[in-house]
Amino acid sequence: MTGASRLSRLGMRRRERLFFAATVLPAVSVIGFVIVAPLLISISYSFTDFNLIEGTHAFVGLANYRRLLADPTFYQSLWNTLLLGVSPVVGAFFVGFGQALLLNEAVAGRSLMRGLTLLPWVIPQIVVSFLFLFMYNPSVGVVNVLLRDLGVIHQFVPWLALPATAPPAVAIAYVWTEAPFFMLMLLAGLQTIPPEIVEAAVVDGASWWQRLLHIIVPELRRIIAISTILMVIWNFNNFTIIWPLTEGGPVNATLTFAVWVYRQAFQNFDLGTACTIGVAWLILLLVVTFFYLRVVGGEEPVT
Amino acid sequence: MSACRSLTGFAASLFLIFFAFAAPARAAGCTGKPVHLSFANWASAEAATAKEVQAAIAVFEQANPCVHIDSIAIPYNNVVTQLTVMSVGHNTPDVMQLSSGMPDLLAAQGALADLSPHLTAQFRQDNYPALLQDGQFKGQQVALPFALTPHGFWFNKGLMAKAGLNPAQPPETITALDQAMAAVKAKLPGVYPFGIMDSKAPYTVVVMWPWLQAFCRTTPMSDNHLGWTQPCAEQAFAWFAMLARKGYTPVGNDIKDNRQLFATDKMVFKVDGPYLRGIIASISPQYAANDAFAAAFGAGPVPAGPAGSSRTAIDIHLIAMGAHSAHPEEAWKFLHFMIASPTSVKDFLIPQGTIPPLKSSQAAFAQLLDQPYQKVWVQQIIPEAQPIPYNAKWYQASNFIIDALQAVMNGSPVKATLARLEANLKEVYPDYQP
Repeated sequence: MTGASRLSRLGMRRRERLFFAATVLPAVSVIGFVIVAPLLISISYSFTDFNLIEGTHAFVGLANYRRLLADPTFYQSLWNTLLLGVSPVVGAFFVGFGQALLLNEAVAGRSLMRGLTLLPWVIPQIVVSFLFLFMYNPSVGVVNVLLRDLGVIHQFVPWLALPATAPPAVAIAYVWTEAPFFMLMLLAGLQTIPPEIVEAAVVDGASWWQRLLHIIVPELRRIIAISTILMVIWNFNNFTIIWPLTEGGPVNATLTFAVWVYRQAFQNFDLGTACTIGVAWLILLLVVTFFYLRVVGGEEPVT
Repeated sequence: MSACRSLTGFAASLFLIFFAFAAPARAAGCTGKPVHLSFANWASAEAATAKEVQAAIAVFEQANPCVHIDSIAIPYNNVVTQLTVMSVGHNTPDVMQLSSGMPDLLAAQGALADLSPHLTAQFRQDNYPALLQDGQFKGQQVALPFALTPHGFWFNKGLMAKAGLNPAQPPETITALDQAMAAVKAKLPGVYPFGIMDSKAPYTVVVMWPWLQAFCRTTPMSDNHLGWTQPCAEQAFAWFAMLARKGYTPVGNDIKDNRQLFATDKMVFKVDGPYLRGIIASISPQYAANDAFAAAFGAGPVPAGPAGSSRTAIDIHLIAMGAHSAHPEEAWKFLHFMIASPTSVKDFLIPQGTIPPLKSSQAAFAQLLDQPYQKVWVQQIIPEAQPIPYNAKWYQASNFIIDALQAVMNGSPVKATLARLEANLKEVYPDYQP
C-alpha cells in the first residue's frame, strides 16, 4: 500500500468519524441536557436541604436519606407504588389476553371490534381520570347506580374516599386504559404462531386449554414478559391517573412515589426531600429495568 | 444586482416591522414614558369573572394612558406554585391577586413589597382590623384585603321545612345543628343534612377551620403552639368523625361536589363564601332571580360551639405588590384602583359575588348589597371573622391536617390520630410548643 493511498484512507476514516460525530452530536446533546444533566442535578440536590420557601440550600450529607428511611410514609408509598404498579398489570393482561384470543378468531366484525377495543388506549389518560372520577362519584356516579340497581350495594359508596376501596378503584382505571396495549401486543404475537402447530395439536386431540397452556402461552412467553415489564415501568411513573382521582389520598392510601415527589416539590417546595424520594424511585425503576433488559437480551431468536 | 437590492429592501422591511412591534406601544393620550405592569390573577382565568376584571383594567388604562396592564391569568389551583416559581426566578409580577395564606408563603421568600408606607390613617380605618391582619407578615403589610369572602352558614329553606324545621330559625349552636341534622336524616332519605369538604385539596383546611373555631377558643397553630391534642381539638375531630359515621355528610367530597348537591336540593346545611349565591344560580337557573333565591336559601353566622360566640375563619382575596416591581408608584395606583375605585367595586367585586373590603365602599353601594344574605355578611359575619393562623409552612402542614381529618372520618381513633398529627407537625415546626 502506498503512502498516498494510506493517507487517503486515513482521511476518509477521519471524515467518517466527523460525519458520525456530527450525526450523533445533536441527539447526545439533547439527551445530555434533558436527561443526564437534570438527573445529576437532582441527585446532587438530594444531599442538600434545598427549600424554596425557607431559602435554604446547604449540603446535609445523608440526612435526607436517613429521614426518609425513618418515615413510615416512605414504606407506605413504596408499597403503594408496587401495588399500583403491578396489580393493574395482572388485570390488564388477562383482559387484554382474552380480547386478543377472541379477536384472533374469525368472528364477524373483527376489524371494527379491534378498533373499538383500542379506544381506551388512545384516549388521553387525563381524560380517562376524569371519566372515572365521574363514574365513581359518590352521589350520582354510574358505578354506584349500577351496583345499587343490581342489588350489590344498598347505599352509595364513596369509592375514592375510603382507604380500603380507593386503591382498587384506581387500579381498575389503570386496567381499563392498559388492557388494549396487551391486546395489541398479544394479538400480534398470536398471528406469528404457525397454524400447523395448533392444527397438529388439534389432530392429536389436545383440548382448548391444553393448546392454550402448552402451545400458545409458551410461544408468547417473550412478548408477555416484555409487555408486562414495560407496563410495570410505565405504571411506576404514572401521575396523570392518580392525581385527579385521589391526589394520593385518602390518608395516603394511593400515595405513590410519583405523587409524593410532586407534593414535596410543588406543594411543600421542599426540593431536597423531593429529590431524595426521586432517587429512591429511580433505584426501584433501575431494578425493574434490569429485569427488562435481561428478558429482552437474554434469549436470541432461533434461526 | 437587482436581486441584491430586493434582498436589502426585504431586510429593511423586516427590520421596520420588527421594531414597529418590539417598540413599547404608546397608547393614545400618553405623553410620558409608557409603563407595563404585570398583574397575576385568577379572575382572568375564570369564565365567570374574566370579562369583569378586563373591563375594570380597561377603565384604569383609560384613566392612566401611559400604564398598560399585562394580565397574567393563572387558574386558582396553580396560583401558589406559579407565583413561587416566578418568585424564585426573580420574575415576581408587579401586582398579584392572592388568597388568605398565600401572602405568608410569598412574603417568606421576600417576594412581596411592604405596603405600609402607602397606607393613610383614613385608609386603615376604612378597613376591618382583623382583615388587614390577614395581609401582614412579620409586622409588614404585604397584602391588602381585596374582596371579602369569609365563610358563612348556608341553609336550604325548603328542605328544612320538609324536615319539620323552622327555616326562619336556622341552628345557632352546634347542639341545635346536631338536632337539625338528625331530623333531616330521619325524614329526608337521599338528602345529606350537612356538607364538610374532606378531599386532599389544601382548601379543605380552610373549610374545616370555622368548626375548629367553634370548638376551640384558641385554635391549634395559634401563637406558635401546635395544640392538636388539646381537648377542644379532640372534641372537634370527634364531631367530624360523627358526621361521617352517622352519614350526615358525604365522605371524600370536594367543595365543588358539595356545592352541586346544595344547589340541587340534596344537601341542607353547608359553610361557604357569599359567592355561593352566583354558583347556585349557575347550577340551578331557577334560583337566578333574587326573590326565588331568597325564598329558597338563607345564610347566617356559623353556629357557635363550646368556644362561645359565633366566629368564622377569615378566608378572603387579597392584593399585593411585587417586592422588586420596577414601577412601584404605578403598581400602587393600580392596586388601590382595584380595591377602592367605584368601577372595580360595582362592576367587578360585587358582581362576582364578593363583598368590597372598604366600609366606605359598602356604604356607597349599599343598594347593590341589599340582599338578605349580603346583609348577613356585612353586618354579622365579616365583623366577627377571625384569622386562620397562616404561616410560611402552612401548605406543608395542610397535608398532615387533611390526612388526620380523612383518617378520623374513616374511623381511626381520634386521640391517636391527633397525637400522630401533633408529632408530624412538630417536625414541620420544630420551634412550636405543644
